[in-house]
Amino acid sequence: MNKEAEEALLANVKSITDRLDMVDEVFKQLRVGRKMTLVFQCGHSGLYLPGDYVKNWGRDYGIGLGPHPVSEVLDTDYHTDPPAITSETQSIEQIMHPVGNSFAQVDHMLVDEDVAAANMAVLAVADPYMRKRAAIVRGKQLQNPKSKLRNMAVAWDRAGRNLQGSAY
Amino acid sequence: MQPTIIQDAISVAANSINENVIVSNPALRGLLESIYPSRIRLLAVISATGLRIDATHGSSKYAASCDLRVSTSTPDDPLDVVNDEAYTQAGEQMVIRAVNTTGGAITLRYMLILEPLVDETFQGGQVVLPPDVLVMQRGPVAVADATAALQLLDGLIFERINVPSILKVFMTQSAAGILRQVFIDQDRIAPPSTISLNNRIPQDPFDMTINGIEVRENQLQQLQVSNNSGGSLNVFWKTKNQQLIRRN
Repeated sequence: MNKEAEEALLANVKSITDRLDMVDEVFKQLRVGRKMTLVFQCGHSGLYLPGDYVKNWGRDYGIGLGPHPVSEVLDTDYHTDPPAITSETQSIEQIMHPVGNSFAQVDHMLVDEDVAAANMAVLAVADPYMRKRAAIVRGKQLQNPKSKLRNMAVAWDRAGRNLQGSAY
Repeated sequence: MQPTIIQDAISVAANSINENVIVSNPALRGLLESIYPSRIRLLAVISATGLRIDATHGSSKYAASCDLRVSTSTPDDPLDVVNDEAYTQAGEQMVIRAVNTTGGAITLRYMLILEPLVDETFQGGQVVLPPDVLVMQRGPVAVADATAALQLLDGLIFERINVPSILKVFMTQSAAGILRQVFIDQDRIAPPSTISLNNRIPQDPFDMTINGIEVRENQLQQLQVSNNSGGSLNVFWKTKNQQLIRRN
């Protein structure tokens, strides 16, 4: 059975039973020889979350996001403008469209280990002050044509510190 | 008279302080001062953990170092009320100060409602107002495994209050394993007990754990937590002190 057919079968089986733990175990045995791992997938970003994400909800993951497991992956709020550049602004890196937890649904699935590793989300437990995650999201904002951040970044590059206090 | 209702969403830059978010929106600058004696209702949420607010009317703080519930939407009334029992004279400035300690910009969504306490015959000047409720709310606060009697209020502004008050405490934990207890000075008021598992900033009234404690002026309020769960956990708490005498 090729991989696509196997994935289709897996999806069909999962749609008719709530014993996803047994389904995953059977399919795991079918895939002996291929290094597979159980992960959760963020329904908004497509990024993967660790296999113990739901089990350790509130302990290692999702701190402050309520009693029910959802995705803690950050998303951009393009509807809210970036903060204005003021005399207090020290670096243009402080300026970006605000971010927020996506609260998207998470789905349990079996994927190749190398695929999981390449698409694993940066977790809050490993980045408590949001430094790594904000840098990733800010990079995406700069690439997005509807982002107001691009013009602000260009203006900062041209005017440098002279721009401070003149944003209003 | 009609109430004044401010509702806004504003982003606060990474690693920065916004001294008054109301000023940051030019459309709201005309509403900086209460135009009549009024009751203040403040509701607020944030888009991600790491942004904290203080709120004052005139020189009186009524919400100190408050973390907020994380939400993708506007504040839910009444569940996201920070404080709805503060009272201001006419002419006092409304300030909501926001501090973002993270590396990313965060959205603060808030509502500030001023409900008039006078009618159209009001000619200015001061009126007799009820005493304010003073609010602090924090979380997540990490509590390492094998922690015994961590003092959550240690060093915070409303740890002692210079007038008598009635204390309410709301708490949640991120997962099972936290026990809380409350002392007023050396008196143990509430022995070690478990708290709600809601894993978010506490909501009034769902997450109430302590109610009706009498606190005399300048008494030390101690809210302690312990963790023997085998792993680190987080706790979220909110205190409301109903002052019995108005200070100003």
